[in-house]
Amino acid sequence: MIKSASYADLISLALTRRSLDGDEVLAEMTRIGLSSDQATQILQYNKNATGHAELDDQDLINALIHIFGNSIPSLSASDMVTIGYLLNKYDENGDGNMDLTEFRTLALELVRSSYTFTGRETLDSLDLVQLDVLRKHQWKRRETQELKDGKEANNAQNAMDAKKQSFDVEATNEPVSSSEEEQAEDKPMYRETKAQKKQLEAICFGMQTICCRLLPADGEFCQRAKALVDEDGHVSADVVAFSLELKSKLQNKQTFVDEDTDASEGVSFQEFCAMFASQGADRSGLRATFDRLDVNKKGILKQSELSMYMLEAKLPPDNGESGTISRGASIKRTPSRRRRASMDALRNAKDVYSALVEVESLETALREIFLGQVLDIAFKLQKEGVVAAPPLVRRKSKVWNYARE
Amino acid sequence: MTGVPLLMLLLMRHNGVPRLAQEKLAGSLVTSMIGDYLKATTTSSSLKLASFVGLPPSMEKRVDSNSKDEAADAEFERRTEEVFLEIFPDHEHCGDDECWGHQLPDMPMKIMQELNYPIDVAALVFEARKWFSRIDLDGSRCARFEMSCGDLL
Repeated sequence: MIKSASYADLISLALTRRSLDGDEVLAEMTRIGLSSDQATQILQYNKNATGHAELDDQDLINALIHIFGNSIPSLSASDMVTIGYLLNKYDENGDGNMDLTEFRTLALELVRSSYTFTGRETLDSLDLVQLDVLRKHQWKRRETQELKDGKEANNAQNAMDAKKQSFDVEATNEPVSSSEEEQAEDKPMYRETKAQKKQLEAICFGMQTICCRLLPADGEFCQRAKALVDEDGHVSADVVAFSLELKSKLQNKQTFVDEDTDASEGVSFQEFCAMFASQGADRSGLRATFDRLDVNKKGILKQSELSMYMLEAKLPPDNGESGTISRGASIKRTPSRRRRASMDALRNAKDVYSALVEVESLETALREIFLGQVLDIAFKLQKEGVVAAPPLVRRKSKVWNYARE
Repeated sequence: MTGVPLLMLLLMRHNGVPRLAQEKLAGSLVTSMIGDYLKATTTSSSLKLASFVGLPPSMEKRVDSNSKDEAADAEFERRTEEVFLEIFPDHEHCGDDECWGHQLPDMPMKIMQELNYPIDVAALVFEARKWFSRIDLDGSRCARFEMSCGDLL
């Protein structure tokens, strides 16, 4: 009885399962460019004790996972699949080779994209970069029925059709118009109102003004600022990256990092002298000031030490005597000249501060626009059934209702 | 009796309950969008790789191209090179300017090309099943059925 039951199981299994015989496997593996030895390796993963060289779908999957897992000693199958995907994506010249430069680009993009969200964000806590990522992402959409024939939407049927189409082998051979695909990719999912467009243009113009006013020496950056809005009034997609870079540059300017020309995280005496080259300050006097500021006597001024100096420079002494900043004994600086220099420093600092505040306010306005666009996308996706929200009111459980009855 | 619900409705409107409900709904939808985004763009392996290459928490996350933090950049490059060497051990024999690039092993790459470079193992399984359907031209149920009947007799 037990034996017949097991045979019955075997028959039912045989009726429902499909398998590849050795010839099919060999032909396919030769077609994709593998040798017969490699194809034979795949056939070894047959776990059925039939004695025939054949594979069912699970055997094939096991074989693939085993091959991927043993390709590189330190990598699992999962790592290998992901690395293969990434190498294909970031292979700039398409030769199948990956050099260290391409791999650095890959790693940089990977780190950036992986740390964009932690998963604990709320709507209020999303920053500008996160909102920008959400609005630019190519969301998988479900075509609603109304768009086609004006009938009521049936997303379940659409999803089923899409699934069928993905499994249909013949359908995959049908050429898809590339222009249609490109149009679908380029078209943003959110709707940009006229007011938002005007606001965006004003924001870009504001950034251009700040850039030309405070960073005129950085010609390339100013060119990028001008390219933010084209002749047709289209705003560049890099507006967020640009605003962040602008803020970073202004902060650097504010904290004297621009003086650190060799980016060594400290200002050497040469760099310190270069700061006063235009003012004709005496070198020995500057040496004395430098030594006084250099508390740890390492010959390099750290950020905090320079900040202290900046603070001193911003506060002109009332009596016209400077006990803190010595400009040297040979050049007698009159109180009016000293006051003028201090006022210039103060004015510069004020300009940078006000520009930073202005950039912050522009970013806040930009965030409001992006938030509106992300919400527009969210409600569209909800309508299409791609994303869902839990019900606001919890329904009473049936058990409780029955007990009540 | 109808006065009480009407009063409740008016009170709710007065206190801005519909707006609050809309905000809550929007928040939930955006959270759901973030989940979808993470699902579509990151895998456990890519996170593992990123966390290995990425900078330690003690260093600031300044891995952008405009970074001036040389120590962080050097650390990032060191880690990247280490992972690169792990994937391509042959790179050890390359000189500083003589590396023409390396390839992953031939067999898995050819299979991955056939499977349209799946992003993770779940996608690999899905694509492998489709591949199986394409290969199995004769739908060979019969051979196994005959074999099973033979065994039974």
